[in-house]
Amino acid sequence: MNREVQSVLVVLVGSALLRISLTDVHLRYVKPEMAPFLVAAGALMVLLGLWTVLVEGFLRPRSGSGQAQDGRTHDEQGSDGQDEEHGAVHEHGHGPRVAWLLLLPVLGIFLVAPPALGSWSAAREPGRTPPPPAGSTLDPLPAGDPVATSLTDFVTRAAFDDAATLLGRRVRLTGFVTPDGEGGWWLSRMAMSCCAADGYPVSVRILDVPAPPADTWVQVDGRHVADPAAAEAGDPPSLQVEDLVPVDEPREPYES
Amino acid sequence: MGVPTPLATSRRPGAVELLALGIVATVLLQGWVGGRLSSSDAVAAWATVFVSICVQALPFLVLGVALSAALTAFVPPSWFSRALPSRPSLAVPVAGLAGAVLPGCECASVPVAGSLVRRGVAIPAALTFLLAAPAINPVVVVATVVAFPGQPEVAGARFVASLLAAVVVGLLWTRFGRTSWLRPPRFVPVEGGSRFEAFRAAAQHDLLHAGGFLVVGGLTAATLGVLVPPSALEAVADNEVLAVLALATLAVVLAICSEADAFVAASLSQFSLTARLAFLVVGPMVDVKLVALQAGTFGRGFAVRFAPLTFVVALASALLVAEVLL
Repeated sequence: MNREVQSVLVVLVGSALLRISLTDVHLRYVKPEMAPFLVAAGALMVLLGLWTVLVEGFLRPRSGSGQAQDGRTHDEQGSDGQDEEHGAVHEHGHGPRVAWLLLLPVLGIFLVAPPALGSWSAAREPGRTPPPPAGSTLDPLPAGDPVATSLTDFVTRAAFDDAATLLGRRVRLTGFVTPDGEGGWWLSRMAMSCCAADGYPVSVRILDVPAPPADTWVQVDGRHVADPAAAEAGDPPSLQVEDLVPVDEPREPYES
Repeated sequence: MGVPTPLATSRRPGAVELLALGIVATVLLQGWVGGRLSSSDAVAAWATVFVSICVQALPFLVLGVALSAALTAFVPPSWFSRALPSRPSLAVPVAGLAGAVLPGCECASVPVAGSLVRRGVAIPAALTFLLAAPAINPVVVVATVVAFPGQPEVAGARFVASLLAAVVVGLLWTRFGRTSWLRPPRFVPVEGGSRFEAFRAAAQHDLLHAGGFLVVGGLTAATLGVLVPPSALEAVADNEVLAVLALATLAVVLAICSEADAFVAASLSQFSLTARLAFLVVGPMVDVKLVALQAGTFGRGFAVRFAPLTFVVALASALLVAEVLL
């Protein structure tokens, strides 16, 4: 690929990063804290590509082979090993062919902007129980009826301390519908440690309410139903639902 | 862009045409393709995982490329050879530690090591530098810390194991290596142009090169994550020996730049930290891209000996350090 095409690629990748980081789209893939770094990286790439275009446009290119292309030192006689690695080591005067692959995430972002991980991912493995909290007891739930809390918090409270902090309390949880394939469903959200690639589900089994369509975001009010056997086995806790309303997908779909 | 390109009349379709085609295709296809994917879809999940690995890693790649291009353009190789002690057995550990100042992946370290050899730096020291630099520089360490939140010991273990492996390989080469195994590299040095031009060119080349391989890594990790059910992955992951060998081999095959491989490793959450450490230590030292680069720079005879040696030492070092630190 010649240098103009290279610069276009660089600008495209940078624009893709800018597109998702200046909007909320990046929240489908990475943590919110990454936004400033994505903006910076995208801007730098766009500037680099434009810089090259300016250089190409205003400097007459010298007649070819005397000047090392791309300013890189490379081995004149190094033809061994270059061909087996399909385009990894570039030939004199051309850019690395492997860089064409960068069009894939660019197209992925501009064409498709894949959705945040949802019920397909949440159904693949049982909801994960977080590790035991530091210290021996959990702080009590804040006041309120119902009290809004995260799924991770609810699952933690249900799994440890005999769910003492949940006794007699009505909680409000928000998540999406994950059918379990046997007519029942979980209320789930995906959580991530680094980015969506390592996402894992946090789920709560919903009792006695027919499943809305998969991936519908809902807000439920209900009470914890203790099931010591399930807690021992590490299964997701259960919720007896008193009220259910559909809601819009939250701005940050993953639970942090 | 409005800049008249003098070559426009005499070349095949290029930048402008590509861009125009891309814009038209995107506008036309966007609605159709977007509508086909929903969250209850394996393909959508695959796409999401793939995009997220690329997006998460790109800022670190950009940072590493910027710093290594700056080093390539603004720091003369003679500085390196002056900074190293002349006795090989001393130069090797110093060169290993010096690797911490060259941010960047193997794309930068192989050419730099080649130019060090050309400037008279002892070969074992140059090789240790070549191995250490992609693995222990600050960008990689930070990336590893970010990729494993709450587990900074992973980054520490990576640093120690990589430095250990690099120094061991260098010392082994001091004892057993022969200069005849290396074809002396003949470089076309950068002529003319300013330092800034050298920086720009190096940055653009490295970004595209490393970015391309990042995409390969992302595609593989996404496909692995979606095609293989968690239970099967767990079966391999649970077998300690299989898990380590599988990830070490994966590291060789995947050839991801070291600024980004921590994120791929983090996504392989079914595997033990030991296996993932093997992935992180082996990857920057021996992978298909590196072997090709080394063969191109130092000759095939060198690459054929160096790669297996490095693989074994890196694996052993990772296992040893994991035992102690993780």
